[in-house]
Amino acid sequence: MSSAESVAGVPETTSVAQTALAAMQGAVDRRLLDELWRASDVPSWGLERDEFDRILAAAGSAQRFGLPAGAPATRRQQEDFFRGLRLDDLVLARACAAGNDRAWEHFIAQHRQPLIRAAIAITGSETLGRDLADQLYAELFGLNTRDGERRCPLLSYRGRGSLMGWLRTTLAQRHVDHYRRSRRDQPLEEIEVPAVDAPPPTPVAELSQLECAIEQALAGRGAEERFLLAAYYLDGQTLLQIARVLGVHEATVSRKLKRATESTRKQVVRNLERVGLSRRAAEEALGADPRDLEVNLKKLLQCSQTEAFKEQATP
Amino acid sequence: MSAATHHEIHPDAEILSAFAEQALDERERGKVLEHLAACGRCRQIVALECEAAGAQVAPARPVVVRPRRWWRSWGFALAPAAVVAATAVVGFYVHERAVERRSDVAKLEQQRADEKPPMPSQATPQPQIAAVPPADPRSAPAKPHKTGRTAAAGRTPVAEPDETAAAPPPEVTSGLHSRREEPVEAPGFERHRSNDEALARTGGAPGGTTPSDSAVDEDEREKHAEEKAEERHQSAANPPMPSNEHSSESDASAGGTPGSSEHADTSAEQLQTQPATTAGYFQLHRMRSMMNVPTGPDAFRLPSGRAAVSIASADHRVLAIDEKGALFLRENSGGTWEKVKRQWTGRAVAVRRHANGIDTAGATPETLGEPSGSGTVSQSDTAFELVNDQSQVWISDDGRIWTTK
Repeated sequence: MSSAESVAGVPETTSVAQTALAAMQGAVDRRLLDELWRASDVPSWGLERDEFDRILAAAGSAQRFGLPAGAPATRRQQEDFFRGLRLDDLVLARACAAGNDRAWEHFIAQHRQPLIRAAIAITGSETLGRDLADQLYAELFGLNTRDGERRCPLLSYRGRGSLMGWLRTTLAQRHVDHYRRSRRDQPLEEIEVPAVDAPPPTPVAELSQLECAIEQALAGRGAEERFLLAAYYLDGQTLLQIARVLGVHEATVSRKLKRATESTRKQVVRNLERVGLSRRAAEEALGADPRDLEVNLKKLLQCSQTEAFKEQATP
Repeated sequence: MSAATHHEIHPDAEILSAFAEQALDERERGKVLEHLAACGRCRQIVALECEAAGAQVAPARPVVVRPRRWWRSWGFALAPAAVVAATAVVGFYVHERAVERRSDVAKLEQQRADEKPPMPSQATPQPQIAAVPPADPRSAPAKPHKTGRTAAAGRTPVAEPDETAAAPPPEVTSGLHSRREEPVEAPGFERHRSNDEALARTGGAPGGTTPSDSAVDEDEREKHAEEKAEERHQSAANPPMPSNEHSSESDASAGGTPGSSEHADTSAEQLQTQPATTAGYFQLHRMRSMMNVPTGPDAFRLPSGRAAVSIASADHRVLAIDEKGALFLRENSGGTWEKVKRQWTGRAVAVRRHANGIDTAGATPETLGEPSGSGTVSQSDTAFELVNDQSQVWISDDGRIWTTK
């Protein structure tokens, strides 16, 4: 994986956890720990209570209980923080990262086969899928070392989603990154575009106006509409795939997509009218051959004003 | 900021998986969506993750056992439950039919009671009591008290089983049921009881009428009784079935009012009209078996073609009265029936054994089978009693010659 595409996030090492544990020693409410211990499924696979407490203290200190830096967490805030996490998965991941044998036995029993199935589904090939799963499994087991220290990707799991979801996403990251790397080495297929009757050429001035109008229209779309347009028109995803990502029904995606397309078109026409074209001329301008346009929709859609994860890139 | 730099900044796997699982709050979800709109790589990752999540569920589908139909989960418990339910339904139906039948009988009985005015001639038997010889043990005033159920039970002892009034008077049938569950039969039972008591008090035929005295009215009464019987037969839903529940019913009554002519008449009518139940039939059958009386369907049919309503036996003689009031005698077991010449007034409704001054008419089938150490009755002391529809009594030693009591 290239450094540019590395997974963002703060890696946590055992030493960091120990440091955090020392810093947070006594910060976590004892009764809250008792309640969480009783509610947890962890004792069923044999984790010691002391280790459970240490893991929770480390996780709480690393994420500062979801509070801004420096703000002390009350018992209620601590409880809210821990209740919002997949605590069992988090403790299992941390115990595995710490090399707990019972935790690994439990992890293998619970996640080994689902991991292989997910890899096969992602790659679309059983061979590639098993290779991908074995590779990740080796990484999880901590065969990779950095600076002489054992590195386990499970330390980056913070319990926001399920552990299995995290494993699937990690597999998908590995696969996509590998594909994007290897695709550059593949020769481009010769695409023979069938000759079509060329429409009457559009004046250059109108084309430039159209480009500007499209850019402005797309820039004014919301994040969800741009995601829909990009996923459907650029990635070629189906309505069902988009619906799974957004957690809505397929029909909802279709309806939203239609609405986004129509509103974008209207906005383009309005933008053209704003620069002086009549409505009829604007409608005719929309019928211009896209190949004559210098508009890079992909660039337009993906060159959004997002600042969302900029902070994650900062060390 | 160029697009290239934006592509370098990606949410980690934790955030993307939480986004796919809808586990992020609105603010974080908006940020991720903003990034996904601009980042083809992360869109691809999320799409693949969702596809893999769906694919992980798919293989499990064939393994998942479909929930069984709710009624199949009952398994073998369904069959006995169905049997119990069916039994309950049938039992309820039978019970309802019985109740309905009894209520109909009670209504019919009430109608008859309303139709028939009390006969004053039977209400004044007192002068006749003096005419009856007090020395006769069978007419002793204390006798009726001994005819109670307990007395008969203690006395029925006879080595040779013989008895009485096996005929299934209708209220008998209902009387048995009433003793078990239904109070509807109580009126019928009381009438029988009062009838017996009235008979005992008078010590003879009420009104002092003898067969010779009443010879003038005999034909009219007989015709009247026959007409009524015909009407009752037509109105009755079930054919009269022999039953001995009448005796047990009358025995079961602890106290009754002195019988009036109305009561006596009503009870006599009920002997024919009330339907016999299956229980009464089997009870009669049992009693007949104990008495060595031939049993079976034919045993209840007399040469007249009618069913017997009252039977008594002693000294190898069996007396039976059919529905018309005709008396038949059979002297040897398995022999033929011969009709006894009519020597009484009215319509004979009951015949019973009268042994040594002890009236066993009230004996129940149960008491008939019980041995008794003290109540042995010699055969020579045995006599029969015949009761007509006016509660008048005639006695006979051999069943052929009858004299008024």
